[in-house]
Amino acid sequence: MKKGILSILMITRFIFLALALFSVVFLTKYFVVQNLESNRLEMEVFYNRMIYSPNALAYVDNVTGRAYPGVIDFDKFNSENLDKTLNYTYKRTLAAKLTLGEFTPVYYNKEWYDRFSPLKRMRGLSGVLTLEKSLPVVYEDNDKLYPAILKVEILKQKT
Amino acid sequence: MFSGNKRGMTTLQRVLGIVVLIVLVATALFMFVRNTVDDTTFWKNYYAKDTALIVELLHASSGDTDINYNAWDSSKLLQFFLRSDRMDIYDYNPEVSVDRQLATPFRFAHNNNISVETNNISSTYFRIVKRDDKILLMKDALKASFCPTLPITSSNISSKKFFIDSSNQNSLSLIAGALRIYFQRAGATIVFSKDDADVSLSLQSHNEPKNILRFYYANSIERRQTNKLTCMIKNKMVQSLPDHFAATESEPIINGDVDRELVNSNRIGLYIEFGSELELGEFSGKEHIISEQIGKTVEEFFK
Repeated sequence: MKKGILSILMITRFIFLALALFSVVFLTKYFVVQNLESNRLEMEVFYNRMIYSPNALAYVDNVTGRAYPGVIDFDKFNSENLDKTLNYTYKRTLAAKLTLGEFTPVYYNKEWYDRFSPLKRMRGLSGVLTLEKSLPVVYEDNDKLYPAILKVEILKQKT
Repeated sequence: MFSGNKRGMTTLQRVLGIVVLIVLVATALFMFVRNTVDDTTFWKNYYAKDTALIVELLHASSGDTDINYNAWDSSKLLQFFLRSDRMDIYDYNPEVSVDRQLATPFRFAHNNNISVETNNISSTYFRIVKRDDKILLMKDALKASFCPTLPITSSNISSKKFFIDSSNQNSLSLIAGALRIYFQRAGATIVFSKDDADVSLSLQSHNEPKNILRFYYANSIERRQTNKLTCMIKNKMVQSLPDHFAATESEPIINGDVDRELVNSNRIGLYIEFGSELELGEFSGKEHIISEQIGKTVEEFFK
């Protein structure tokens, strides 16, 4: 048999072998459930960390070191602080917008919030998930406490 | 067919190269399929997410926090690698370092005010701890028991008959001897046939390279009770000697398992396998601790 024909025959055999191997992987992936849906949980955990962490927005008494859940430290309520204290190495996961009373909204990961925002209504994998919460808080500014409503909108890329 | 070509490489070499490549790819694929079929992939994903989210929550906690974690749902032993920004899960393989394995990662947000101590742990039980603005994994026993709360028929240990068996290995026969004395002192009867016993225990060693504590419990009508006793003994042993056991496993004895027919399959029967003979040397001088822990747990079980 000529060498060229033999090589072509070998190539077809390898292609079939590759097809057979990958079909095993495909069937396994298709029929065995491996993925855990945890998007909602991840957003809830992120929300709680943002609001209640002494290193994020919660007010901390400088003397006792006690953190007050539900009391927002107005000095910490800015985008720069949020980005610094909740630092994901992979930035494309979560973004958030926080509106405290009548103040200008602050953003966590503004760059990706602006990118995710138009995808809110989009269905399927290319869309983003939204968690909206609104809670009554008090905020501390110059040693005085003021009541306000904190509106939080978290956007998350579907995974 | 295998004559040399212009570049000096023979067709034979080329075909051999392709065959080697195919074997490597096929091995990787079949490893993947095997891990998927025995749910290892699923549990790696699960534990990566679960532990990373716990670390994420610990960032929000004020003060010191301890979380007892147990990863006994995975049929294989896993390695948990806490890094500064993520949790990586690997298969446990003492021959292949984690740098050469593919990780199942899950990220958490890091914070400069809290340091996440990088460490690697391969254990069924460990603690995720936050201390003084530092988060770390600690290889420690569970403090709390997760055993099922079953209504145990109250009956005194003194009315029970025990059959204790062990391999000829020195440490194990010492533990078995001490256990017989313990139960006799508690008023129980020691019998020499498993068929006459209410509770039969067998202490053996396995040949795994790592010191894994294995429990096989009789699949009898008292299976739930046996399962609970297994859980109680397991917790107690890991608590008393946390550094000696890398992991624990427990499963029912399969019908017809001739290697584990020493325990009474009709009543409460438990087969405890310790590490290899070499590792059993570690227990030298600690036999009394193990026998006392098992004895106390059995006594507590029948209270």
